[in-house]
Amino acid sequence: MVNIVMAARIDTLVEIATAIRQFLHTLPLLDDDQQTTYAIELAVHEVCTNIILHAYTATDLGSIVLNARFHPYQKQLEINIYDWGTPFSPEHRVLPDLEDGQEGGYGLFIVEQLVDSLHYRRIATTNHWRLIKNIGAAHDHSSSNPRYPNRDRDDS
Amino acid sequence: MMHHHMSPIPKTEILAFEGRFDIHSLMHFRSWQPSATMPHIILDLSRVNFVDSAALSWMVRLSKQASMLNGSFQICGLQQPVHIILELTRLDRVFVVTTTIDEALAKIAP
Repeated sequence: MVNIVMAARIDTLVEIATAIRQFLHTLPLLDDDQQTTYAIELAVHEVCTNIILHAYTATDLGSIVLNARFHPYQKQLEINIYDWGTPFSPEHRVLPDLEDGQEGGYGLFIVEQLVDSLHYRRIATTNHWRLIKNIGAAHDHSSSNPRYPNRDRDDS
Repeated sequence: MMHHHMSPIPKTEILAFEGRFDIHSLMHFRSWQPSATMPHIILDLSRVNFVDSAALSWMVRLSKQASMLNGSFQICGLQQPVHIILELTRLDRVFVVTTTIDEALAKIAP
């Protein structure tokens, strides 16, 4: 298990990535699986970037709390990320144009493609993102037909 | 980190990156854009091991700017995890992706 408390700044993202990578390296199931390690690191990076830019609007005035744990029986990695910024507004979310490419909108889309479950909820003044990644099962990320996800995001 | 490399052919800019190519590293060169005298851009990503959505968006912008200047935009040397992200976002179909710089240069000046 790993617990991280970080200032919500762009320059601290690399520290979050380092901490996550070090934790993942302790998991025998991920031994030398660079692809899955990269997927998890990137998913966490994108959620934290979203928090910094949108929940805290890049004001350098917030914090991010992250904890990650591995559930060995389910072979699941659970990552919880908390912030106390503006609530996530799915109705304002821009989805990427997958045919022509566009400047923006890829962040959460990438997260949804990389993890098995992405769940958001607002509790009082807290934003809670929960990411689940099944470890040890074969995943084909090279699909020629990536689709818009229908993950179990709770926008309530 | 971004480096400018000398191109052996005219009107071509070769930009080489290394390490993390993300929102943090972009802070140093986000405003860079192609010029009318150098409208062809080759991004060498062979030493990049991490790309995020901010870098993807920047590449889309660069591609569009190059196109408006009647130039071109190519990326080369993708490591597998980086290539997978381009596949997930289908940007591997939007960008011209080559294996080597020489291959990219040949497409500009065949």
